[in-house]
Amino acid sequence: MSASIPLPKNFAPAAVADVENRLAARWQAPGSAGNGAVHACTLNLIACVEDANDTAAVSDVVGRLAATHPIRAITIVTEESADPNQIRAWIGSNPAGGSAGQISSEEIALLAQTDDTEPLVATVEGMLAADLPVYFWWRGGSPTGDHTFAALARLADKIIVDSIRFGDAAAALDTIRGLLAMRAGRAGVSDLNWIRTAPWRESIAACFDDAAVLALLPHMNRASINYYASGSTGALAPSARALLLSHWLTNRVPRLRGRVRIKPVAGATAGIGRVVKVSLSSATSPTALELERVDDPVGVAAVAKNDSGEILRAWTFPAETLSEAELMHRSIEAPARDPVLEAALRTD
Amino acid sequence: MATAIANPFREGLRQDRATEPCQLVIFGASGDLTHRKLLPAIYNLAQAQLVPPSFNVVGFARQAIGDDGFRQRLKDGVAQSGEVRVRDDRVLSALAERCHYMTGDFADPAAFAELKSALAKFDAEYGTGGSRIFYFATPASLYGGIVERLHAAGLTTSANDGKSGGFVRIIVEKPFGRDLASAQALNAELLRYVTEEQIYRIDHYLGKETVQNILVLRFANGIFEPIWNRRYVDHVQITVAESLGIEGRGAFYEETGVVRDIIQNHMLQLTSLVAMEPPQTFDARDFRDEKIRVIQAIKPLDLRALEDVAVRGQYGPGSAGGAPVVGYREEDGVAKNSITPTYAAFKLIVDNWRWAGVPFYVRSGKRLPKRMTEIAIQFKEAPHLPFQRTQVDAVEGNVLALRIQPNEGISLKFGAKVPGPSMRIRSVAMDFAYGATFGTEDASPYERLILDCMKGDQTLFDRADGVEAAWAIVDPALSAWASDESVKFPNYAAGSWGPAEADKLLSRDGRRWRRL
Repeated sequence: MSASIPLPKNFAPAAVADVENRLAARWQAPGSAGNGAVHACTLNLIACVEDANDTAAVSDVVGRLAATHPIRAITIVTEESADPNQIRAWIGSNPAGGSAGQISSEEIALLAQTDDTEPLVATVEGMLAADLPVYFWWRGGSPTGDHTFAALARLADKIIVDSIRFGDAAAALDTIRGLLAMRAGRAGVSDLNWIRTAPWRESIAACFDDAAVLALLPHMNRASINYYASGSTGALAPSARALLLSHWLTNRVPRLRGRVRIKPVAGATAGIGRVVKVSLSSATSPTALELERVDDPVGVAAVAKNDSGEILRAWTFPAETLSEAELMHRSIEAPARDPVLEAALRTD
Repeated sequence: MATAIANPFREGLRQDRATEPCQLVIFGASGDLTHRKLLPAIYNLAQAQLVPPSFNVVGFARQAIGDDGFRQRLKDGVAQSGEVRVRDDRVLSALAERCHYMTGDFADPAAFAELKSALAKFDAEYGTGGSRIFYFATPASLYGGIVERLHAAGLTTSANDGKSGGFVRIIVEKPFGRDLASAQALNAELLRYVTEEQIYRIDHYLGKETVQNILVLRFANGIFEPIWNRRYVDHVQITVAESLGIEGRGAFYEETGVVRDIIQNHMLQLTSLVAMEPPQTFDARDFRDEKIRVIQAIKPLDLRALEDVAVRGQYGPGSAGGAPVVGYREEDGVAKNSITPTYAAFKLIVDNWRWAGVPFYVRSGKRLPKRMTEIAIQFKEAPHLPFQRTQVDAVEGNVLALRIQPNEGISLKFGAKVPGPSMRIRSVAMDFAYGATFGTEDASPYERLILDCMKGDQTLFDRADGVEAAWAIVDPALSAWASDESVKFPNYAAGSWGPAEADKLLSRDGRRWRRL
């Protein structure tokens, strides 16, 4: 059986044993100006995709990341139908991210039979660029109980997941907690869905950077978060983002514990789970900070009201929807551990 | 008194220390610096969402260009700047709406009263909370008068009297004086009206990423600091070479010269970063204390044998970029008998335990063969070569070269065996190139420094005693050279590496300048 995966056109098959030599030959060859090509690499990225059709999307993200993070990327597909005991490899030809004479990404794709975990991990380990950090991007559903995930996670300095793919919000957060517990004492876990909430967290923080608004904070003792849900507003669709923001607010301002209301509102299918409004307010006065998503241009409009209900400040913050590459970029740029996320997840 | 509370939402965000609401007032807003550097830098900060949401810009100058003219300069500056990374019309329009312009004379108290009224109005409109940054993009001779009139108008303290954390900061551009006495006078004049904590003296070299990387290289890597001393370092060479001439600024350069323009500030900043002791922390006080301490440790130049430690030069006709160019004295605005140096080299001795006996050779000049800023740490040669009966009789010492511009990076030169049956050694370079590794475009120095000022971080700005210590080093040479008109200028051809005396400065010690 000759298994394959739908890779971009710039990928060519290679024998596993030959991958390293083929990659080395590329940067030892003269560049376009006749000089040796500049070879830079700052990290390894192991990307595990659930669906073989996602390899092109991963390659696109790698190409964008390579512009700022010279990278060796190893994309892994495991399939039941793949040849057992035979790992197949392809090498990408660095279509993006490098200028002439500069190699800034090296892409390898591997296809393995689902049960071939041990030889797969050994192959990956042999292909890692030496002495550089290893980021393990799990681009799939909840990894709990997955053997391939567990084996590859052992190689990683940082695990990157996206809880938006995990289904039910509460269970998704439990999965992240489980990963953090598994990694306790070692390098961290990053959730791209948590990074999606960054524009909200940055906007809220920016409002309270204003000393006059910060002075209102002690009077605020409740909060609400609205997010887009499918169907009618009564149907509670899961939103891990709303739940993450709620935990963050409660962790930052402990008196909000048990006083954050999460409310689904009807929204476009494409935006399901997206947070659209956050407010902090007082139960006894009109004091409030209200932030709402606005379109064209996409941003967050915020208004702070004093204890008389008068508008004290009004702002509009740019808050463009972050692409997967931008989310990955932010994850890679961030320190290995995120103590704010960890503290938020410990909060009831 | 109410206790200020910290913003609990700020922790862990990309900007862990936010810029506070403020107004940025630029004196000299119709000038070249504002147009070419400041406005593009402010745009870059806005585009990167690094300016506070409550923020506006007020230009102030004698020339009547109005709000529209000032906004057009912003747009033109952004369009023409090579330092703008992302062009976003929405950001540019939003910023332009917050740019205002006032026509006024820097000597007119009524203009400052008007400025005060306008700033109060903008405070209410933009929520800037009485905080202001005054940027002095004017000739240094105007600094004293401007700060005096700001003070008289009640603008040197926050409009809200600090009730909600308001601030007033001033940014002043080099040159900070033209000698030690004038620098001391300028500092005294500024400090009569504002405190040292309010003064941000810009040397844009410190805003360069690669200059800051000197500190990371030294203090974040365990392998360099143990050998960063007189036991292992033979000498240090610092070069700021410019291929350009004076580019039509004859009148300015006649008053300035290379020592005031480059060496007293940029080169001594680089010297201090290479030679300083590790600071306890990187807060402004610790960092600047160590930086100034090492400048103060540089031995005064020996005026009795000045030619042994200092060389001056002036370029004559020659070539640049493959074409003939005129000499300095033939440039517009330059006196035919000018003795203004366009080249200078010094041998500096840092008189402390770490650097005893290690000379720091610094040189800078115009119309040199290429544009290059580099710091080279020349290590001592291996004490013993165990390669008897081979073709190896000498091996060059290792060199760690820090390239500040262009092609920012670091290279380490070391000996490697040439492949083959015989023992032959060749020097090779292990290169780290910033651009190839990080791929991102650096923030411009002005961008970084304006942002730091907004955050109230003085780490990368000069302090009064630092400025004065730097003047104290070059002042004797400036005085001696000014009173000695016997010098035979020009003494180097445009397109060459400077006067022959500069080579002697090193050959006298058995060394030579690196070929760059």
